[in-house]
Amino acid sequence: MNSQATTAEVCASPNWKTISPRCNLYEDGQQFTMWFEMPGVEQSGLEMWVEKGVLYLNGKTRECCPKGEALRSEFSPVNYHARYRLSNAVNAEGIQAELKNGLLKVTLPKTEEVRPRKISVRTE
Amino acid sequence: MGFGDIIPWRRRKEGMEGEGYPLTQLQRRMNDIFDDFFSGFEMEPFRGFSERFGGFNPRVNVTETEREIRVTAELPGMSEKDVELSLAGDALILRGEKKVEHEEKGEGGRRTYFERSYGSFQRSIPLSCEIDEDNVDASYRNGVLTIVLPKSKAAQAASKKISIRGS
Repeated sequence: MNSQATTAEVCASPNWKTISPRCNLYEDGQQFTMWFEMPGVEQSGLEMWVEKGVLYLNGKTRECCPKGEALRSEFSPVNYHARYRLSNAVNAEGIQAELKNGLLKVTLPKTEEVRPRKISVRTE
Repeated sequence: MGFGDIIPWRRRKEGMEGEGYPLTQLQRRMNDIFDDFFSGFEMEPFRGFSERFGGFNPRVNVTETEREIRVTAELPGMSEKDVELSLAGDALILRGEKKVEHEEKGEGGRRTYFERSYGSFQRSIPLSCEIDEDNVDASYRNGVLTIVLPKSKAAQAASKKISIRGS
């Protein structure tokens, strides 16, 4: 994916703030799992790609500016942006993502080299 | 956690007998007062104090037109089953609990980094006029809950402009 085109698209909404989504990261022997909070983002507004060992994440909330007088305004449309340098422990080919209810789950499998390996013990 | 916890330990030590210490106490007390006082008002600039240190409180937008009041709330990762809506007197009550996902819990992996907040919440949105209660509509999409509350006929009529007589 071309990152420049993506950046241009993000900049198409200059008045929107760009923020980092809140994230939880878990690690077990097989993989890393990341959960990002991106309320208001639907699948078509989300882009992810890996380039030169960096994982990029862009999300745009659906523009919804209801008419009328704002009585209370605690959030506004935003661009979510995050990037992570991937270590050698991550198998970039196997990264998977799933978006549901404004929550993005990203699974980053570990490379074979760093996965724990059971050693079978022989008995004589 | 208060102001004292973010002061580098060396400064804090020196300040124990000096002027730093009472100031720390004062700051802590101020945070408490802000939390207690503004939690009832649910004002955005002051909401951060409690949210940063544990609980979850959804962010809410409210707009009003001649015909309706529209409330939107950010509830990422929740489902419609986790939220309860009710009309009580002249307020809309939004109540629920944001839990750690079952899947997330079951993974049993080591938690390495943690920014998301969880917990039960209740928000009360004051409604400035009478609502047509039978036609309230709520929908949940992409982690955002939208509630449309149509104004009653009487309320729509009442919102007519009042002309001011000159003397």
